[in-house]
Amino acid sequence: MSESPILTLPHSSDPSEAETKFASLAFPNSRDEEWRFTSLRSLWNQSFSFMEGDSNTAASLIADLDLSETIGRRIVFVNGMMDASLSDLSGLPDGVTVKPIRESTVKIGQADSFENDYFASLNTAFFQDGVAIHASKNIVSSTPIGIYHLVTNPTALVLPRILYTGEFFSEISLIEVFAGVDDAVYLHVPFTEVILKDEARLHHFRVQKEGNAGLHINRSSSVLGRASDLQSFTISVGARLFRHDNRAAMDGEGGHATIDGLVLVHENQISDTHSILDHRKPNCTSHQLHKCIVDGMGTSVFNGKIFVRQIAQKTDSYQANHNMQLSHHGMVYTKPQLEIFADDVKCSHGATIGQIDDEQLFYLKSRGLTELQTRYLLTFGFAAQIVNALPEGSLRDRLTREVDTFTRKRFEVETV
Amino acid sequence: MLVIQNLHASVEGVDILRGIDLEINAGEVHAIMGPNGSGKSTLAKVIAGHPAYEVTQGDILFEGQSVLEMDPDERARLGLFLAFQYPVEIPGVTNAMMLRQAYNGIRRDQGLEELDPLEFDDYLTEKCELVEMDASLVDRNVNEGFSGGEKKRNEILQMAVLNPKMALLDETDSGLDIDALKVVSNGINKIRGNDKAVLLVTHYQRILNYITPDFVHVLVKGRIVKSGGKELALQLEAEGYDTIMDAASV
Repeated sequence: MSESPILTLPHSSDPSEAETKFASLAFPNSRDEEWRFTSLRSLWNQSFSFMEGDSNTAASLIADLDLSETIGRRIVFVNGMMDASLSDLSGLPDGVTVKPIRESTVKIGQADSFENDYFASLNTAFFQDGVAIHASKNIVSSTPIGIYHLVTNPTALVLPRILYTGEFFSEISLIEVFAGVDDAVYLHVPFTEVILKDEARLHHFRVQKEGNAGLHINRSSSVLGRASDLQSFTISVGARLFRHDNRAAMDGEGGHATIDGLVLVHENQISDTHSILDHRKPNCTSHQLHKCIVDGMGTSVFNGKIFVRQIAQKTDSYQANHNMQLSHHGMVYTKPQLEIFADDVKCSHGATIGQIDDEQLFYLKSRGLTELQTRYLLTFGFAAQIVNALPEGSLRDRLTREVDTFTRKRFEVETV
Repeated sequence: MLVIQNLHASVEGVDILRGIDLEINAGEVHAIMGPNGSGKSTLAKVIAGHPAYEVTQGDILFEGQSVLEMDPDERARLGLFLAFQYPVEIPGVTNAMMLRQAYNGIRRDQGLEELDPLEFDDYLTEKCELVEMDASLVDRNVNEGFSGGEKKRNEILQMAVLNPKMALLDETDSGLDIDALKVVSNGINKIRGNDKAVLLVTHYQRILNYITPDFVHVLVKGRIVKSGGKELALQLEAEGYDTIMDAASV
């Protein structure tokens, strides 16, 4: 029994720097600080390799997701390769281009350093395919572009790479969706980099709705220029194991990053969010509200680091992680972490783990709602609070239904 | 409609209600007055079934049936309604969503067809007009970010929607300015009827200028020490609670 997965990777007689780097890294285990609470045991001894995907299955996954606002603006990857027949860029806003990543003049690996990260290095060395999305100066478009990462086969190793660059004063919206077939053990390791130039804005939504046996380890790295604004939201619903390393570095004065998240886990699911908000310059602000609902034997891990560098005076940072635990068997690990080297800053952080509030319970029951209806409503409300902050559209509607379905199932409340 | 017999109740081992007897018939409005800490709010909460209070003696009968063993939701579906002194905020749940589920639950119990969201919306709009509430408040999360007056008005809206037989109003007048008080009182008066009863808990006589009670009871240290008609409220307002407390030597 080997304590790592068995990956079949292309062999090169003249390995690149990234390949050499990856070859030097050991597979992480629970002795690594970054993996203390998230066991990678479900990857041990499993074989994964690049596999050709099935477009028909992928098409039905897209239909199930039902995100009508991305019609005409869809970039579809199946098992890590862009699928031209399912992608549709006919409605792309003027000034926004999508190119194969290997043809892009913008280099990957600029948004973050990840030298010793096994999975980020794996993607960097061996990514199969990817796109570079570029929004020109002053381009503003509110209709989102959908990036679908779909997996249709068991044992597939899936390594897509996305690079987004927003030029000065640009503002667009990206919805990244990760989905796959149920009952298939596959390994999905996507890496998305975001470069925001001065005054650029990006709305970045991620929907993780992988198949129930899927293994997903995600890296999102953003670097923010002067007075730029990143609005990032991630919902984690599917997968047997989900790990999200989400990092935003404020590298110019006056930048802002929001990285909100919602995690719904049940059965034996593990969902782990490791985030870094790195304040490198003065007068930047950041906001992070991360909520988790844990049922069954589910596990939720949150590790949120906020760095305030010595030069980053007047930083204003808010971080909260709220967990609702519905079963006695679920596990919640939370670690909000502040590291402040500047002296004139405003930072708040906190975490709560709780059950349902007794006064709220009594209030709703006194209106005639049964115990189960009440618990359903309060749990729904806990999660809906975060979804309601999204802009109106098919994404918000879809996620509201997702939250509703999840919470109804917990309390066996029928649809009214 | 509601009969309270020798009711004793405590919270965390402290006796709050120490032998209350009260009978409220259909069509009547009873006001419970008393100084701070007399047990007025406790009485309302105990009738509604708040789990923090333990009934140690006595009984509460609603339409002839003891409710002591019933959960708050069962009592509510029988037709008891508590308007809270401090309405609770429910983040992420809209008023409309909560009320539709609660109302449909009651209809289900009565063997009536449930209303779909559109039908319910019409019903809700009509009730908003009745209690002069801005209809946009129904799409907001329950009590979240509401002003004090809006919260109280929202309680009255909920009462209008659920249409209970017996309303327990726990200091619904407190914290209201005179205009809001008039609106809330109007709402209550419109819902009053011969087949309904109201128990109004209040610290001040002011609301009784707008809602005329049939009976006024003075609660001191967990007991009703004096009962009378609406003139008793005026006497209390003029003389304060001290005279009555002295007379009752409590």
